[in-house]
Amino acid sequence: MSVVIKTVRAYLKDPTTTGLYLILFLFMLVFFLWPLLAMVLASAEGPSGPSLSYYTDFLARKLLVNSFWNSLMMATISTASATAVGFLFAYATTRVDMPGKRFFRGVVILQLISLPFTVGLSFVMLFGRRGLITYGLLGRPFEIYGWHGLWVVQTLTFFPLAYLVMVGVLKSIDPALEYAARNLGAGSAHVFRDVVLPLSIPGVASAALLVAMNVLGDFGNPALIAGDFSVIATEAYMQIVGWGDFRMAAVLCNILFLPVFVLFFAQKYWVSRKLYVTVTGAPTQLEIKKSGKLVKWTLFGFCSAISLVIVLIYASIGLGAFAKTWGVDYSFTPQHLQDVTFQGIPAVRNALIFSLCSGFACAILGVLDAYIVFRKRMPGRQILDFISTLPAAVPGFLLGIGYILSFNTPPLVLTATAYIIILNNIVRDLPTGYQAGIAGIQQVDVSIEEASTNLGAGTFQTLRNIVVPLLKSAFGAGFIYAFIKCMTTVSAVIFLITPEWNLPSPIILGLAGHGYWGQAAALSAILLTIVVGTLVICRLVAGRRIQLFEV
Amino acid sequence: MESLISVGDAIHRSEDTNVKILREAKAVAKTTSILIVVAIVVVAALGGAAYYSSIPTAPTVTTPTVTKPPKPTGPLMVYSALHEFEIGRICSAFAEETGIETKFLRASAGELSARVEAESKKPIGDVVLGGPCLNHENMKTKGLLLQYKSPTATEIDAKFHDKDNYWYGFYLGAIGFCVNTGRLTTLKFAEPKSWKDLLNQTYKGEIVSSNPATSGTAQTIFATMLQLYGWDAGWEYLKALHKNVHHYERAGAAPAQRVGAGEFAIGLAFGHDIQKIIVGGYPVKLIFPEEGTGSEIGGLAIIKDGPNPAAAKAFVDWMLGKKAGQLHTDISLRVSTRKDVALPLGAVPLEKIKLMNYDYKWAADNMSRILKEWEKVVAG
Repeated sequence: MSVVIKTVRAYLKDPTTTGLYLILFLFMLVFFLWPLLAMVLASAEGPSGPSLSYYTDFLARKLLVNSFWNSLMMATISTASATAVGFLFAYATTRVDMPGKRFFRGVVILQLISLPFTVGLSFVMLFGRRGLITYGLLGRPFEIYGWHGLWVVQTLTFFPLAYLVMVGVLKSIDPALEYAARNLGAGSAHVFRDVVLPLSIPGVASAALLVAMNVLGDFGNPALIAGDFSVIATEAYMQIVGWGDFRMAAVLCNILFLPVFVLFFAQKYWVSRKLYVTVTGAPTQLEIKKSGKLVKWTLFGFCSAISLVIVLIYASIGLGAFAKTWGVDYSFTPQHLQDVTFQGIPAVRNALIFSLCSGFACAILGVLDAYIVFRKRMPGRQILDFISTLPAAVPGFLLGIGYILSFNTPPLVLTATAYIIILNNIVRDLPTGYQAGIAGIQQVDVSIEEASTNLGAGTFQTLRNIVVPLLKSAFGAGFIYAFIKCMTTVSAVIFLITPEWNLPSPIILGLAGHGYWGQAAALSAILLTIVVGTLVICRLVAGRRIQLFEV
Repeated sequence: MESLISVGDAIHRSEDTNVKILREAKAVAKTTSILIVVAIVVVAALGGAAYYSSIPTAPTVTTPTVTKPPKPTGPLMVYSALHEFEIGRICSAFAEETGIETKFLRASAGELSARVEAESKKPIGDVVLGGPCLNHENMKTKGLLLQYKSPTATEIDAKFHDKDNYWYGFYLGAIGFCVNTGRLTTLKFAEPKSWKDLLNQTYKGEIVSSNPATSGTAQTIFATMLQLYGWDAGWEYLKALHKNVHHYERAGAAPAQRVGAGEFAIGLAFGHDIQKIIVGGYPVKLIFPEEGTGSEIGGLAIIKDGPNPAAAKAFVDWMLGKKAGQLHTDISLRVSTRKDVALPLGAVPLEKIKLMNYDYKWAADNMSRILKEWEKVVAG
């Protein structure tokens, strides 16, 4: 009883925090937890009352069961390769003194901010059966469609995520440890094996789980590259758009969500606890030891090869946008750009509006969320922390379908409005805003806030006069991340678009699937220009104050 | 002295506390007011959203007492299975002529009928433009379409329309083989002449088709085979064909595009989609199978309880007219159901094709059964 009273008292003592807390909670309850619950309810409802008939039906349908195993298989192999590439990239750019590091980082950032299925589209154009390189230059047709093509594409698409995590981890490994090992007589291979690798293993696990969650949830690349290799994401899509069977789609989503949820839990409560980042004290002034020539140039060659492929990917998008007929006639034409204007311009305008809205909302909510969770010792903050990070683990198409199921009927009817798309994006990008907020909060010494409180300021005043001004850069970072993600997202919004509220990314995917590569490339190029432009403008305006992608 | 200091301290302290309490109270008041404002904004936004999204179901346009119907205004929401750029051209022409703002969403025919069904409680689209009429027939059976007698429809042969005026046919098409002659020559394969030829093992991995769960084209192909050979023999054929098919595309015209680009040797698609590739300058040949082939009537229908029925009716009247018919045929090479629409260079008149006696009604009635059976075939 006394605990309850204490809790209530704690809430009443600080109305600002309590108010924010309630708003955040309510928001996540309605726009995140309710759609998830709706998925479970929809899948567990039979013709008469609750039943598991849809699940038994799923088990009886071989195609669907196959797609589940295919998804797991693809996630496993892509995660292994993407994490390996990400690790090598991160190791090379943080701990090896090789030329061209800035270029390699730029390449990774480009990959991070572009449409998630750019690689799929350009791989068909470059390395497909009639690809510019495989067929045009090398003269040998290469079979890109299938699981192996998808594997390569997913590796290239998601290794930057692993890279980001690994850079953070590798940077935090104190070079002094390496010096110590060397002084004790260890060679460079020995140091790598016994010092660097063990220290980075938790980071590797963390990166791998992040990649796995993203591969499982990806929709665009399998749709373009997989051929007859069906995965859960494409099958769930097919259930809805082809069969109109929302319940079976919900079943597929729930079955996929189970492993993802386990991975998320493992990442959040097990792997991240094992990170050795916190053990390091003050940063050392020691320079990273020079690595051997062989290691240096091997890694340089590796990074160059990967970067070359990525450069080719974007070159093919640019070329494809203006080449008359890809694979046949490469003469210049502005036709593709003209073709996409009627539908493309309003769609891009919609995307900009949605991205601005959800960018601001994510940045504000993210910073407030981080402040409450990390600075206020309110009871129940762990729950808020959990539900603010969980959307990152929910596959996009799952939340898209969940939104249709929940906001299609009263009390809250939102389907076919702009709100449903904006809210969906806010929820899905909240974890990025939240992470940016946490990063910002941790850089502000708590003693400044304590000083403010000691001088008599309440929570609201402290928030306004101390926290907000100091967190401007965190706010900016959260905004940019969410903006970019919203501009390029496809897997959730593909279920929410209407003639009135159409978006460029589903249009591009449709064009690419239709075989209209030139037009797809043209609209991709427009979208990519806007996103890169935003990033460049942000750099010019804010300079180094906003830390983006921490590289 | 010591006590004095402590008393002074105490006074100071209490003053401090008072100030603190005052400030806290101010902050609380401020916060509360801000929270209330935020709450009001949120509630208003959500309420507004709910209100606006509920509008479509309200019958705002139908006022039976008015003798002269008001001039329809936009926006009109078009769901269409035609090609992206064709829809764009048609919609902008309609908007220009009538002043009705027009927006569209492209999806394959099977996807559209699933979508219209899913949205039936609160329809978002106004009309379904294009796609084989077996989908329109399906939607009619499920009660998803609006019955409407278009005055322009009398200018077209009644056999191309639904007898109850739920949908109208505005173009015709026949299934053919899209063959990349260059690729066949390099592979040293013979041209397929008939449905039977497609089962030839040399074509393994060289045939691309479309997915009947999404594509109206694929639905027509499947129904054609099942009608040509009968249910059991038809499935035997489709199973054997499946071994040669590389993969199934979501969109019915995509196989023609892929074959045009030279990725595959043979694609199954509607003749007009193949003709478009040929006119586009690709080394492709259109072959109609010897046994006879299935055909479609491209349908146009109004969605029941759509947001803008007045504009939808205006669109149907306009689309069935000569001017729109000519525009559509010119950009798409599809044969119009109107006799007075001239065929552009490259289009194939249907009289020159050996057509089988294809029954779209049977296809519509049996489609869900066909899809279930097909999933088993694909799963192996």
